[in-house]
Amino acid sequence: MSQQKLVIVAHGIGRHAEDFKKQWEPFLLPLAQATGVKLQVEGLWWDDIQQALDEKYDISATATALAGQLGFPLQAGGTAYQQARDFYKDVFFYLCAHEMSTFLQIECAKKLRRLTKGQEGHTLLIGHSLGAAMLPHVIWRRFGSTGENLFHSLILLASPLGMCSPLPGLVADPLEIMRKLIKEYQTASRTELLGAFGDCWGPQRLNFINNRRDLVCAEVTYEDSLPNIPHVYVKGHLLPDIQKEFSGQEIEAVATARQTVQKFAFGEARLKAMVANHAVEVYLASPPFKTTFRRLLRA
Amino acid sequence: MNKPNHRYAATILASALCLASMVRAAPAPLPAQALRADFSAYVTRLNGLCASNSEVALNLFPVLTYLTTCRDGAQAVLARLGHGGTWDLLTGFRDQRITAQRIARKQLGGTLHVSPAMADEESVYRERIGSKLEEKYGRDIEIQSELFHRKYLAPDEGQANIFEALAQACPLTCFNESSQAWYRTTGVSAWEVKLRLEPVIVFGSSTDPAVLLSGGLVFNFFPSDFTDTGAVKKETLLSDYVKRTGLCLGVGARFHAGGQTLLVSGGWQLRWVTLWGLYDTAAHETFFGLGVSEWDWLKNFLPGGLLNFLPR
Repeated sequence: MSQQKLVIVAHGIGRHAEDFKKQWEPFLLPLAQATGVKLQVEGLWWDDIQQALDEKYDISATATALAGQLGFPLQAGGTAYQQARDFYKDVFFYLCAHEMSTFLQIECAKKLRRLTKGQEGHTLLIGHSLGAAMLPHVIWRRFGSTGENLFHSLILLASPLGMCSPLPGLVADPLEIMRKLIKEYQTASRTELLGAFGDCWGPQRLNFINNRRDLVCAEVTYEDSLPNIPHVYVKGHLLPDIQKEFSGQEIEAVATARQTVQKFAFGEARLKAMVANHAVEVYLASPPFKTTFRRLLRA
Repeated sequence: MNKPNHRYAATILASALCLASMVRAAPAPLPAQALRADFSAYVTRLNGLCASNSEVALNLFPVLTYLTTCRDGAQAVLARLGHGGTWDLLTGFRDQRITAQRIARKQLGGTLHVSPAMADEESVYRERIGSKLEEKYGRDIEIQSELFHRKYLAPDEGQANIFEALAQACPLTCFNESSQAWYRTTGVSAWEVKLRLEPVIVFGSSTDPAVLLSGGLVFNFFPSDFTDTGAVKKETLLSDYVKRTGLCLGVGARFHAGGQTLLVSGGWQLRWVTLWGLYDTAAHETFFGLGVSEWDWLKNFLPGGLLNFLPR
């Protein structure tokens, strides 16, 4: 008898259509077929709220104009311009404007609850990029409200939870946002938060998967010029003062909670490959993802 | 002649009552009888787990301490049942259990999953207590989403800017689920900061344009009651028709035939219109002014692209 699983996928930064799950399905469905599991894929689309907030607060236009003033050659309408706009908007609303971040988490929580329809125990969640920060926040907030985590499992692709903000008052630390969500954990350290979050899952049900060449979740060193700005040459880390991936202690805390952090290497350590190395397709096609996804479908 | 006055008085009274009823967003109280049965079952199960002594044999004293704390907390809930505030009892117990888990996890070296007794406790908690909190959670997020939409994304809310988005993080206006303040509904504050550049028409001996940098606090009127699933059950007179109002201060420039002069002002905002009292510091004169912070309605009248030149 074949099992049935619901897979809910959450997108990351950038523009996404309501049916963005179609981009994920060609990777997920064949894996499910091979394991004999009947799969239903649903997309947790939250770009609509980000767009609505952007239209009201006019963030992306302001920030892109500011970047232009600072000398970044962003030609209006170009790809780099669009990517910069999306990046500023998503990061601003989620990590800088705290009240809007709460609004986004609550919207996602509502959408997630409607999508699962009480089937949390059979629901595997997959988040990519900012979606892989949002999902832990939503689940942890729910844990604070109910005292339990009902979801089957979680895969976080290129999660920014490993990032450590040097200016948390200005740009929130994605992991430390969790500290504010449950008042009993307001004094917890990063490792304690990570351990406690990991511990509310069954063994190996929480899985971080990171590309070693992805700036969002790995300490990538470059010897390269910035795309479109050849006079800016980077030797070493692009953002040297920011921790981008989990520290050894943090990985240990995840392991103690019986969860996993897996790494793979894809793409060139070139600045022009930054976006390509972060793409969701790279993650969905990676061996650690395939293995983990198959294992969780059978679990 | 007295009839209209009576009507005004009745409207003001009704509005005040609607305002007072805003805080009634708590779900219907849980029947104490059902809750007693659930907590009794939880206590019975935990008594069994504590008595089994397998944790003592395994030297897992933190597990035993955790189970005892949870059992004692549940017994305290049972003792207080029947005196109202069932949801407070339930959420209080939830918080106590989360704290106990945190302490036990530290003592156990990072994980609670060291003995079957913990899984048993989790299972009986889920069945008897967690399921009720799940229902409350579902209702709360529906209400919070509705109120956030009304507060920040209402179609007539007007256009804002980056500074206004950042300013909403101030303690009075930001979300706080644990606060029971009168102006909060399921944690969402009715207060909102406004920081805008606002064009104003000044009415004096001549009608002059002016621009004000304005800042203020606006109060959003929320519905008074919600259904068990979190849908709006009852609007108030204020939430239906007024939606939001507030006071603001501004400083700016008045443009007139003699050049530009500095204005200081105080205003009363009603939805997207502000009535300003303006003081011209050069002419030492006071004026009335009318400001508008929402420009989308102009889209229907202006040729494409012109809207981008209007202030935001």
